[in-house]
Amino acid sequence: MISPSPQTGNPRIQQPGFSPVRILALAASAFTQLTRMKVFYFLLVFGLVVLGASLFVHQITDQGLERGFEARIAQQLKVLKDMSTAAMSVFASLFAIAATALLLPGDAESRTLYTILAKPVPRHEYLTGKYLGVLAVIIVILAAMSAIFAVILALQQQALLHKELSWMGDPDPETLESLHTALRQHGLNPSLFSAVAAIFLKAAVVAAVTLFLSTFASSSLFTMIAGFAVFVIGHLLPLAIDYWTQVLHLEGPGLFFTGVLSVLVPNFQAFDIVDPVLSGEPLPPGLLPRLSALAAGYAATFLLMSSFVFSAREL
Amino acid sequence: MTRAFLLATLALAAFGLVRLPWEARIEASLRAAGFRESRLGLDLRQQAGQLGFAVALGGFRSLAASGLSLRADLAFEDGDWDRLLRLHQIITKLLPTHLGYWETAHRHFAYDVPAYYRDHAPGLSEGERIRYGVVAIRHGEQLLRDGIRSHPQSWRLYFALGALRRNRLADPCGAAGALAEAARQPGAPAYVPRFHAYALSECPGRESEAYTLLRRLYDAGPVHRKPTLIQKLRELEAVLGLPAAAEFQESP
Repeated sequence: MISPSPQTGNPRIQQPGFSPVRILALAASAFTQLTRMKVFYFLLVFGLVVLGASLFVHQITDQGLERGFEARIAQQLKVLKDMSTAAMSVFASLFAIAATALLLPGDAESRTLYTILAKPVPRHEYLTGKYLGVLAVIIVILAAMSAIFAVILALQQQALLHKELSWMGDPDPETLESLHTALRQHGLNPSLFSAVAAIFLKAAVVAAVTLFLSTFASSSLFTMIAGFAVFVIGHLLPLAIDYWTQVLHLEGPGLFFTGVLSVLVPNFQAFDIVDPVLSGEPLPPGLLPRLSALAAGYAATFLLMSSFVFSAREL
Repeated sequence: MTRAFLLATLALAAFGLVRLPWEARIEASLRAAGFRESRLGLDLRQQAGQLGFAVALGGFRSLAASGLSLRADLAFEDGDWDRLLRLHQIITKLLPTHLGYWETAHRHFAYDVPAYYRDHAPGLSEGERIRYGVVAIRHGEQLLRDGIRSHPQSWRLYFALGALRRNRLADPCGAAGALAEAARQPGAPAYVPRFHAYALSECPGRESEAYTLLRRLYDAGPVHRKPTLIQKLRELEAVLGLPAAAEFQESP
């Protein structure tokens, strides 16, 4: 739609405020752009990490015969789960920082940014599309990692079951039931996928924060370093606040400063639910939807902030 | 640009004010579910070392605990009991939700370390062997009691405490109390109340109570009709001096 500009009287292209189709096109383009960076090679590294952890489990399988089989199974599967989820978490958060930091400067360098923005594409749509593209890559890679992890964990469970049964000889039904319960609790179960979902939610918030930083940063390196700093501070802050309020008993300006920090800095520890899940603790009902809503709130806020700054930026 | 940054800061502050109570509610539900049993304190920073603490802080407490657990295995192989105790105290503090760590830690100190002092500690007098063994058992008991505080509904930890008091400290009355607690917890297998009754039968002054419990278990079904239970019943009949007519008769 074309209408005269109020200032100049010249025709101006009216941009519809929001177009999901345009956002999806931008997301697809960001997805392709990131795929070309050969990020999927990381899956190979992940596969090797999980296989290595799995072989390591075999090495410690024969230790601890004096313990009950529940403790033995929990300990052995825990090593595999720990290493796999840690690799997923590190990848998701670092990728969220690095990929998002590279997107805007990459588009500016290749002049794609100017080509896109010269068309009737609002800047907030451009940012949202790029952000969704990053999230799509993270989802695909986490899904592939989860599949590799699930297959190896299931195989490991079977191997442990056979080994325990060979040690037990002819177990009574009660012992057999306890053995299966221990394997279900500490092996492959739906809670593990909730843990992967929490890893994704944290990465989504990290990506949103980094996107905001990249809207005013002068270089990708600055964005990456600043993104990583916010990531670290977001993990440290709850501990620091506990220390300031419970040990130092800050009052007055100190307490006000603590409050300001709590309001302004994202709290990444809120998404740390992986450890108890790996210990076999059942997930509190409704937790994942509430964490998803929190992550969506963070993402919306940082996209809005990015939009304010990016719209005012001279390109 | 200044206006844009001002707007961005206002948006961040507004969301911050909305999310703080929201996050507090999520934290409260996580705490209620035992997901936030222990916060990382600065004292742990000194114990776990800089790297371990940083790893734990980054959301990898489980991984840090696994790494330290492997180091504890090495300390066990080396027979370095002080380091073993320190490492298990850190591990259980890092990840109190993992039941297996409490069980492993207590087992080392209640069983393995005293066995070392009994059989493989040259150069120690008999008195020193016993004294060091008892100190280790007390460490094992303390680890279990700390574990029970973290897992008040775990029949396994109460059962382990009962076994420790009965087998390592020759305290059948204390053992009976712990085993009674174990039997009351959800998911306790059928043998737990039997072991409670066995410990009770060894507690002076509570033989009659133990006899009643053993009879009730025997009558509850074939799952409890074990040779040990029948032998305990016979022993208690002798202790209690029951008349022949009141004596227990095995079901066909």
